[in-house]
Amino acid sequence: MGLVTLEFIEFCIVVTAVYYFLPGILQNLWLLGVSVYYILQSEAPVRTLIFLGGVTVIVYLAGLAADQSREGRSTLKKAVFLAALLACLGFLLYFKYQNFLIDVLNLVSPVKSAAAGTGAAVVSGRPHVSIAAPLGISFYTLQLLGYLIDVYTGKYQAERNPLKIALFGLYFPQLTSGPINRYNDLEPYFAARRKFDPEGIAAGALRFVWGLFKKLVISERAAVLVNTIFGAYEYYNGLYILFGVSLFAVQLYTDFSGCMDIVMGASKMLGIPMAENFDTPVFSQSVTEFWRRWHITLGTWFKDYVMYPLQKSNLLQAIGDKSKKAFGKKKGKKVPLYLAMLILWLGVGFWHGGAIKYVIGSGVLHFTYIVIGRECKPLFDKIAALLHIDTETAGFRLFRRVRTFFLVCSGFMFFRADSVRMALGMYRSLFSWNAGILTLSGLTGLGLDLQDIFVLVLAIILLLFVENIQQKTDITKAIAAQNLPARWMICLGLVFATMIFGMYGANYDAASFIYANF
Amino acid sequence: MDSKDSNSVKHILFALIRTALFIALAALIFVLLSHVMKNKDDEELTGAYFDYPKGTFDVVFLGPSVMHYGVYPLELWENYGIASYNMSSANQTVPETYYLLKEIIERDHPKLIVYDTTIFKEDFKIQNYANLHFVADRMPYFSENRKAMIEDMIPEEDREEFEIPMTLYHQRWKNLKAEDFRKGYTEDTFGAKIIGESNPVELVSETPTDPFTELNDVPSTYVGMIMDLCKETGTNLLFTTFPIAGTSDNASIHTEEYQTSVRTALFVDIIAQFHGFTHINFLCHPEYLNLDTQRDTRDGHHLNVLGGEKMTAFLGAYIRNNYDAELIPDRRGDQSYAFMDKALGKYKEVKLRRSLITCNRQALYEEFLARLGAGQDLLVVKASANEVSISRGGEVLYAGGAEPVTISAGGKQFEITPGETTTVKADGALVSQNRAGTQFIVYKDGGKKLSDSVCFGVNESGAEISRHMFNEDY
Repeated sequence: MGLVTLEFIEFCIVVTAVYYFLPGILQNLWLLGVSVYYILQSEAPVRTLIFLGGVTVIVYLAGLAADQSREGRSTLKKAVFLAALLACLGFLLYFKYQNFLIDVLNLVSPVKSAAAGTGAAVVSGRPHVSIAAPLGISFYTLQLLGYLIDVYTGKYQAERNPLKIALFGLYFPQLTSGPINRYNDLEPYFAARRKFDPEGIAAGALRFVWGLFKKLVISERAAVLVNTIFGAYEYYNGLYILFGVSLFAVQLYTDFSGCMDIVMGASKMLGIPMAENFDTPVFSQSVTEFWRRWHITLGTWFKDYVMYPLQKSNLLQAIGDKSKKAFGKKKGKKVPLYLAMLILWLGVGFWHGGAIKYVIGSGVLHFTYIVIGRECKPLFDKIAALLHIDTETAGFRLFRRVRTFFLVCSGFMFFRADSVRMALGMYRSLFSWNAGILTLSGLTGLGLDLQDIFVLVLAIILLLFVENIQQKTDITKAIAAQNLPARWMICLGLVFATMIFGMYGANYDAASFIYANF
Repeated sequence: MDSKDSNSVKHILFALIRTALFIALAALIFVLLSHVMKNKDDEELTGAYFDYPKGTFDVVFLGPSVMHYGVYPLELWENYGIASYNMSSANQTVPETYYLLKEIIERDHPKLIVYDTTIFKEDFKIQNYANLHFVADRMPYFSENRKAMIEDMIPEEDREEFEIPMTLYHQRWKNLKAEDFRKGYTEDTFGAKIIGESNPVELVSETPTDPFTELNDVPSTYVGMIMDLCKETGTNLLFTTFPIAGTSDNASIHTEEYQTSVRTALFVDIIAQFHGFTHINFLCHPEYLNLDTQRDTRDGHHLNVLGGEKMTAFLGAYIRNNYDAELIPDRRGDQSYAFMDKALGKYKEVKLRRSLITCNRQALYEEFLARLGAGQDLLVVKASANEVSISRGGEVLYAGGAEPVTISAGGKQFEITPGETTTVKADGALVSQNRAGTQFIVYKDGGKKLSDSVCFGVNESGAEISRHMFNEDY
């Protein structure tokens, strides 16, 4: 059941309507039941259910066994914890990265066979396999592992109620594309009966519709132009490439954050607010800030469960000690930090998919920008002082935002391209002069007519307007503070604008989200 | 109950009332918007049958496009006083007809159904979704028959565009016109599709090798259901099989298709007789219509406006002569049918315009102007390399030779420059600039509104061709 389908909207309405009539314990059972139903509507329902159920059981039992607050031998706890950790990661690797592993295996140990006819030995690779990965595997594996690590490290006690853990793992709004929730954030909502809250439901519904607007009106429209340019980058070179990758940033953001708005809205209607994944990243003034505002739950997960533990590990502590001796205290202490950061970014890149393009585009490149930014900050400050540049002006903030946008876009080039080779080819094409995009025919020759482009531009302006308000205040509360006619006008305007201008229906395929593949 | 609980209940109650009002308002906007967005450009969808009061029409025509092109209900009204509506549509399959007929009978109990059997030789429930929309989108949204039809024909995963047509029609937002915001249909021809295009057909002379062909499973099942339905409800059913079906197309004679059509039509003769219904087999008896196959056909399947007039006249006379006047009365003069007289005036304009803008032969074009345009205040500019004329309401205002001319007529200033490529400007705007040939620029309302601009000429191989300009503006 796709998130952008009438079926899902009907599903959410029925789930919410029944939910508030039920007593506390039945609310959780109801949510679990409908989540199982939701999984059964996915592409590989049985596999997803078995895998997700299996991982949830493993994590539940391992959590009880590895709970630091309970008595028991610490070696046994560690063994159980590691076994469960490896099992979950093993499943993830098997389903998501098996072709990457096959590539690595082919590289390390190529298969030799005799060529037909000549009999000469030729090197051939093991073929890729095609197994449909369970729905949203990368998201809930990290989520459940987060719980296990927290329990093992004594952050909180293991949950004894299997229903709560099952719901934590299977809760349908988070299944497709996250966010990657923390157990201690959701548990209070699972523990008490959720009371009927009309304002909360209205706010959730509005957010749901806003997500649909972003996805159907902006993302799907931008995708037409992006696909044309990325599909023939040899022809659409020069400024077309710059335009294409910038628009892909818009497409990706409205796709992913639109998806988040839909699932957050659905969850909010059920009285369970989930962790935010975006915080107006378009206004970021540095790459570091961008990653604090973009896919927040993934970034914090890797920080909390990979980077910080690594920094505290004996190995990196030892490297730090040696570095301090070799490079001095100030520079030496950066070495373990940067090493931990590098591993974090490799992890983030690898998480997106078993392909080098993700490791570069969503990992190493950003790591490089962040390190350069940190190391060169004193130099930049000196230059600014020398040139008497006031870095606190609105103009300079705008410059930083534009600079950050294009730095992020440089990574998105790899992300969107089919391969590293194609991304590099597009970089080469970028530097050949072609300003056709600046002409009306050049713009309308990309698959959207002038009216559609007009709608796209207006919708992006609306998006920026809303994001600008969101920066300063909670827009949901701002809308709730309006009088009734104004609230209704906003809601109905959004609903019908999405209905009319959305790119959905018989001639479109708006059902899939980019991040649903991860 | 303490005051806190009481306030809470009140709060929830008010919230529920607010929600109900919000949903009602949203639903109202949705219904209005659905009407605005609904496709009205396609003539298959221009009908507004279900918008008329229940029981209005005594006769309803059903079937595929041959019927759609061939029967003009407002001419049946004008000449025979028959209140009828043509609900046929492109490739209307037998199952589609069954559900539509069921809806029509349950709602209106018409006295006579005239149903064309040309599609009986096919063996599918649905040809494509677009054609099903022509049927489904005209039926009342909450109709059980509509629902049953969709469930019968469309796989569950594809039903969305039928269950909520807005998911399909919202794509029209950039093509909306002022007419889309008006109530009803501005050009209701009562379901007739009028085409002025004329292409000669050649009739197949070979007789079928087999006497008849039994129907395939799908048509057989649903034709049975249609006949049962008519019997159960006491509705008269008149089968027709239109002439020329599959005889030729683009100068190719489809002998096999024609023979299949004939064998199927012969089988319809048998089942109609067996079940006590009448079948008019025009395919085997084209002489009933006195059809001129050099003029009256649009292609190897469809009649044009000339053929349609003949078919309409035949059916009008047939119905009048074979059905009791009490059953199908002459409704002319009945005040409750005054809307048909009003529609007739508009229909004549529409018939002329549609005939003109689809006409491909100069002689017919001039005939349409003279015959169909009689009584309409038309301003016609005719220009060729050596002849220019302007007439209004049949009266010649100007007639000249090959010299360029500037002349005022119908409140417009025309600049006409005859030559190898004749150019005509009206108030400085180009209204015709075609290649060699004779050009016609037609205005209605005495020159107020441009109706058509066309050039008739010949191509390299000597065949007559026509080029219509501005058609999309109508």
